[in-house]
Amino acid sequence: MIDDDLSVRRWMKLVETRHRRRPPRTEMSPFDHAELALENGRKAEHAGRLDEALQNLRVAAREGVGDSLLLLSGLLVRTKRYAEALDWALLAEAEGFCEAVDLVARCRTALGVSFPERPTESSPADQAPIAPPAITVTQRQELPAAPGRGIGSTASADLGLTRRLKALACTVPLHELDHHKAKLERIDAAVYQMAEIAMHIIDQVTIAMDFDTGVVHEVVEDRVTPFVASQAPDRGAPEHRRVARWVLEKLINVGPGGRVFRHVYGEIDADGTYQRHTFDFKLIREVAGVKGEIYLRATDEAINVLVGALDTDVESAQVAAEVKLDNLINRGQLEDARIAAEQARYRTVQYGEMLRHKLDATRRNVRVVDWEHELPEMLDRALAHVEGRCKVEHAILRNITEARDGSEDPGHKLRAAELVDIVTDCIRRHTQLQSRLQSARSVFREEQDRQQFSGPPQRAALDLHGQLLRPLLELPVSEAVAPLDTFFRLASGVCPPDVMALPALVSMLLRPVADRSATAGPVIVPEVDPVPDHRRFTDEHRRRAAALLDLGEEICDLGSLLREAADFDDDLPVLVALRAAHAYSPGIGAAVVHGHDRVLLAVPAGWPIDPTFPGVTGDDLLLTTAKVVDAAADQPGTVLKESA
Amino acid sequence: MSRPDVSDTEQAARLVGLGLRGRQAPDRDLVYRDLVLRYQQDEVFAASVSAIADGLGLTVLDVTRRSGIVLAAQAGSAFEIRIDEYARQAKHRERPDTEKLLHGIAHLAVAALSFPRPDDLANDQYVGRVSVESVDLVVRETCRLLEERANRDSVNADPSAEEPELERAWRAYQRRHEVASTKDNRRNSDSTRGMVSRALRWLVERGLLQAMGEEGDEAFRTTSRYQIHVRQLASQAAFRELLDLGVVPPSTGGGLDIATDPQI
Repeated sequence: MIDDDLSVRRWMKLVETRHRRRPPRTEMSPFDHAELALENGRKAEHAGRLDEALQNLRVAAREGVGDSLLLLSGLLVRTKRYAEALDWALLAEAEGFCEAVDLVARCRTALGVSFPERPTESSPADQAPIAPPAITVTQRQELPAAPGRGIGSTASADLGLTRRLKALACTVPLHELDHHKAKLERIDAAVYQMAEIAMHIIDQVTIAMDFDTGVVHEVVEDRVTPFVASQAPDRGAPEHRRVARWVLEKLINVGPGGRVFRHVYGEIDADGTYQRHTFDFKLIREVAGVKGEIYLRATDEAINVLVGALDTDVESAQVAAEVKLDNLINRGQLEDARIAAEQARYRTVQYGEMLRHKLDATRRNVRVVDWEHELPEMLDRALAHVEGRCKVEHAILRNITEARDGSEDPGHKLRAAELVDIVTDCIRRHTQLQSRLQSARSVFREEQDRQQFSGPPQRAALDLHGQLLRPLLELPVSEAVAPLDTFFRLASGVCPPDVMALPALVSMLLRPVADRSATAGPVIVPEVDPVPDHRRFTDEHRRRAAALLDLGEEICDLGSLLREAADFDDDLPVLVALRAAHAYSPGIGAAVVHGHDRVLLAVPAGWPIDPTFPGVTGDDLLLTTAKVVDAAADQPGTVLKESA
Repeated sequence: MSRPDVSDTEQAARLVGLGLRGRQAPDRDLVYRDLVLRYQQDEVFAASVSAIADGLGLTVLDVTRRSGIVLAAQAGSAFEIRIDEYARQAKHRERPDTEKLLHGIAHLAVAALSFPRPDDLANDQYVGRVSVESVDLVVRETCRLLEERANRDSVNADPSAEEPELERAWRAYQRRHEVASTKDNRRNSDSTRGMVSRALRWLVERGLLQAMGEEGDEAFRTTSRYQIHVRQLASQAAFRELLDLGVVPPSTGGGLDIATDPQI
């Protein structure tokens, strides 16, 4: 999409340049000169003459014509002149080229890694006098970029990296679904594409989200089950539903993890050391509705994953989505337009969510909200936003309606009609938002009357919220516990210890069963004892037995080994004897498979073993080890070659 | 040998005993009301009530017609309940500190919402109203503001993975889910709303709050006993501990600034 936009913009600029260019050079304004330079630069770039292109583009960029800033910084990055590129890219960013953000990040990363100092001297080409071709018009002598602007802060360069890492982390739960689908008991889950189902669930939850409510679990399952069914039509409906519920629960992250996904990532901090941070996020969270019912809502992170614009500014992304929509409709590509319209709607929902939070806070407590600056500004911004969006969307609506009515193709007509529905829905949501915004100020005034102008204080008392709750929330967990303990102890009165008395016990036992509480009891995570070790031989035994039997080239009889083993304890001789007995018929195939290079061999010695060892009787054995030779690589047939 | 007159002592002990039953009120009990009147008028009787309470490990905070006798447990007495016992739950996934912290915050937030302004806390006639939802929302909003500030102040406000004990309290609260349904479609008590709900019910059991409306509404109003506890003891002691930690809580701003700690 970015490439498309960019090429369109370039093309438009090109057309503009051609139309505006006037032949007589005497009348040429710096602007025209710059456009010419831009065109020349572009040609030179295509032809591969990079130096010429650079010179031309610098001239053009100084006047800021077209996308010269972007072209120039791109070219500079390609020729690895990052310092200059950064300056131009920052300018381009300020001009509103969102592609420049990426370039800025690249330059900063490159500078942070390869040039610890600000490298003005390191690229001599940058210092070379810039000789504009043929025509010399008044030029500014200095590069417009002020020295030192924005360079050197590796932290901010890493911010791009951090944001991408976080965005990546948001997708991890989706990938893990497919990895762990075998954990679904008694279901062959191989046919299901869990990540797709998850995306579908997030879609459904996001679409159903309103300002007040979300969607209940069952409804989500109902809506997603047909999609699951289409993946495996031959399976039963209960299984489809179970799969849908499983994916939903995984997205909520039900389990001992605490319904939050944790991701550890690292970054280089300001003083150059690598620091690990944890990033907590949720994809779908459960919220309580007005009547106490539990709804599902998609979080910002989930919406970002879904829309695909990872961690971007809400407002600008929305503007971008709408510009794209306009373009698409003008070009008649309605299928793409439908997707873009849906994205615009997700953005709208996301924006509404943000405003809902702020308005809620305003309604509850006047004092904790900054009504002097923050809130009025926020309300103004939000109203302006709604106004702008309504205008844009009405214009779009008119256009599509015309497209719908004017089109002959029934498929086209249908898609246009769908689009009309979506845009109507967007407008409806904006209107809803607007009415909320308008009532906010009166809420404030009423609350102010009630709270602030109700007579002088009677005696000294603390402001519990501002002087206790807020400072406590700012403390680290370990420090905050003690004051909270004190508060709890003193604010909860006395707790008479239970004294059992027979009448009390009887009345307690005879009490009718209470209604089931709406709150479930604590989830008890059982404390699991480690499994006791019932093995006769410990790891130490095995290690010693292996050491004893590592004979190398020499031949040894079992009796002498057993005597050595008996020095350790009574169990070791038994283990040695067992292993020796196994060596009577060595598992050569297994040794080859496991890649062992030696194998233990035993042959009968012809005399009985010393009967002093309990549990070991029979013939004595002669033991040695033999080298295992890979039969395929060596002569076929001889698997084993005696080395001793 | 003359036997001492024990009837006064018995009366004084009875008053202390009534104070231990949180749900008794002088307005509903003639004996209680007479004892309260006697405490207010008879200094010797008042002194013996205080002495008995003191011997039991209790402190008399106040005795009024509305609240009856308001007792507080001294440190280490048999009547004291600590947050360790309250928060004791078979759970190992988080550090025990975090559980205690969240329960403590729930209690403090209930108080903060019951008496939103210093004036409300000071006013004997004020009756606060709280609900589970509002308490949770207020804390979450405060957490959100703190998060915004943290994001503004530093390059990367995410907690360090190597020093989890330095995690800020607001982050622990924010991370915990607000509601969650169990397999049998009930509320999960691990959620923050579950904790607030438990705190409110627990205070009702002790006669510090009163439930209002229908049972399902989960709305409560404060009693004057709760106000006295919070005003005279709990808020002051917690505030002093905060000062000891070197945290200087901000003044509230506006025209209604209230003197902070009378001890200082």
